[in-house]
Amino acid sequence: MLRSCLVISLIALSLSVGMAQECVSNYNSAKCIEIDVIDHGIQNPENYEFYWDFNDGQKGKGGKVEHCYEEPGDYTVKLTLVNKVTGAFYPEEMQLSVNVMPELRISLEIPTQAMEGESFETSFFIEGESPAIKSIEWMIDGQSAPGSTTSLMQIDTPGVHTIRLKVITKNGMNLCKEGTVEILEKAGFKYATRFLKDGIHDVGGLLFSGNSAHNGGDTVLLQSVFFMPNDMSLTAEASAILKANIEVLRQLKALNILLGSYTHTSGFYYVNREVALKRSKLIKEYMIEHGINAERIKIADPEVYGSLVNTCIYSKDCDYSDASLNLRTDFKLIEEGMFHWVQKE
Amino acid sequence: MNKLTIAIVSLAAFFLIRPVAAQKIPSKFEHVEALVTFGPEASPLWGDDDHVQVFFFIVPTFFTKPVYIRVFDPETVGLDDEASGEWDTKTRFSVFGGLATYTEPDARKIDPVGNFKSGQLLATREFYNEEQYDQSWYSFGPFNPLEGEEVPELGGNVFKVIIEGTSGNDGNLYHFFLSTDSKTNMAVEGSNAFTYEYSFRLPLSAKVITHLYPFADSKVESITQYNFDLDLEGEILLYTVAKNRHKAAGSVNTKWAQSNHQLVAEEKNTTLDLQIVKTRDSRNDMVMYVVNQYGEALPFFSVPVGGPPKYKYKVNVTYKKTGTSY
Repeated sequence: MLRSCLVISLIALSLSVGMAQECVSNYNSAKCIEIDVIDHGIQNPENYEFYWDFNDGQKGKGGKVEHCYEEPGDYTVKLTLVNKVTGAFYPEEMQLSVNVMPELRISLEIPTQAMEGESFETSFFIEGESPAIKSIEWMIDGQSAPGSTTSLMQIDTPGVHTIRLKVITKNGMNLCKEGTVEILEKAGFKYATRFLKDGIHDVGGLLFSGNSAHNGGDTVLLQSVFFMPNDMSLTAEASAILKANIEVLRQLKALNILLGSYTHTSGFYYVNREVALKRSKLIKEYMIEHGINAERIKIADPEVYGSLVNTCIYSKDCDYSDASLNLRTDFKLIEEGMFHWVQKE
Repeated sequence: MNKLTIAIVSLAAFFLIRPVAAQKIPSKFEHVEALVTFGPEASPLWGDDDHVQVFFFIVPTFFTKPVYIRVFDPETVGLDDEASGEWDTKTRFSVFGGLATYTEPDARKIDPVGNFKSGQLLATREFYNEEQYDQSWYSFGPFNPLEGEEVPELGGNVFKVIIEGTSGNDGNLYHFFLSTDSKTNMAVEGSNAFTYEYSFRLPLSAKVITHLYPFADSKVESITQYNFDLDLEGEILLYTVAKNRHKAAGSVNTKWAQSNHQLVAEEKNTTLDLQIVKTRDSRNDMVMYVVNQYGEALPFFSVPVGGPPKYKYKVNVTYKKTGTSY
């Protein structure tokens, strides 16, 4: 048996209907309606009978009726009033427009865990005959979040967070689904991604944040390139990563990048800064040689980007792992025209 | 602003913004079999209280072409008329225009008394048992719309037709059509017609519902409906945007009946619907009028102003389990 659900709307100007539309995750058994005439204004109601035409070949009688539809579709329910004494009948006293929808079920896809400050993707799908969608609303802990059929989210606070999705269809169905994501703390380098940390931007439906972008259902990532200590050349591994990043940039034609090379926290700062800038320029030249337009590549200056160091701001707090992280270059996606401090070249 | 203007200013708004196409009078909305005027010697048993009918026709201001007031079956003989012995009845149709045609207070009363023939007589003709007019149209006119009385509150120029039974005892049943053509019925867009006392024949068949459409302006607090000679052949119901077929008093043979009905704010500036539901097949002529709390007659419009009223039902529609909460 086909299981269906109903959405009722009114087309009769003469009608006032009280009806609550609950937000549900699946419509599975609402093929039945109850119509209750709560105010008919008739002086001698005992003289009158209410007859309903449910527009599916079935009729009903009475001031309060129930009816179940077998098939999805649009139905116009009509009320005819009949005076039992005089025999007079009044067709189309009022009309209701009934839309019987097929069964629907909404599912939410979110990761069970994600790292603090790192973006992750959420999406949903509707089982059954997908209805035309009027609006999609994503929320994180009750706060609005950007996104449409998918959402690229980033949460900075460790703990369990609630992701809520509300989809309103053009025929008035409210579909809601909730889930949780556990945000894990990044132990050891709390400020590790200050350079990449950014809000979520939207360029013509392309969502991006930091070094990741969501493009047409896929999430792409620009990976960091690591250098060896006291070395200004690209390792084979670094070259491979760069080539992968170049391929990503070819896909993301609407976006530019900002290169951020980190600095050591020990030694002479200006020497470290020069080393960082040289590494960025080296990468820029490599990318230009491999076909990326120079205009698309900006270089961040560590002098103004205080974020280009890790947790171990003071060398005494830095272990080997932290120090390694300061030997890297990050690739931050930016939109043309976004305000960024860049190295004057 | 004078008293009359205040009384009908809201009515004017309907005409100014909502042109309607008036055709046959009585209109298709009313389900009235025909207008009726009996000769003066007819008994009240036939259902005509005073043997006079007055109808007003509104030609909208924007309409400037000549108009004709056409009468169907104006004579009293043959089909569609009510014989009482020999066909000996004469009926006079008179068309009035110009100043005071409508604004003269006597013209808007329910009884043909005082100066109800106000205005300038534009055309008149007495019909008797002339068979050439049986089941045929007769056209008065052409009339320049400006020959009517200009009534801005009604959004047009008003003509008045007085139908008098001048001799005999038969019943004359007839229809009108306000036309742009003398030989055919061509509607005048945006026109309407109204009367303050309606003398008419009910539909022949039982269960056919007659609708009369008085308009209640903003000052109407209550109405009293009067009806003559319904013969208790059915019931009269008041139907409005706020009243769903409230019972009104119906009359017995040759008698008047009346009932009073309070109106609520929602019903002001709306058309009311007096529904007459017959319970048996018969030929029955009757008279009806409605007055407000001051005793002033309300106009019955041939085309209901603002459309027929529609009662607003309140209905709860609930889902029997719509789904699983998320």
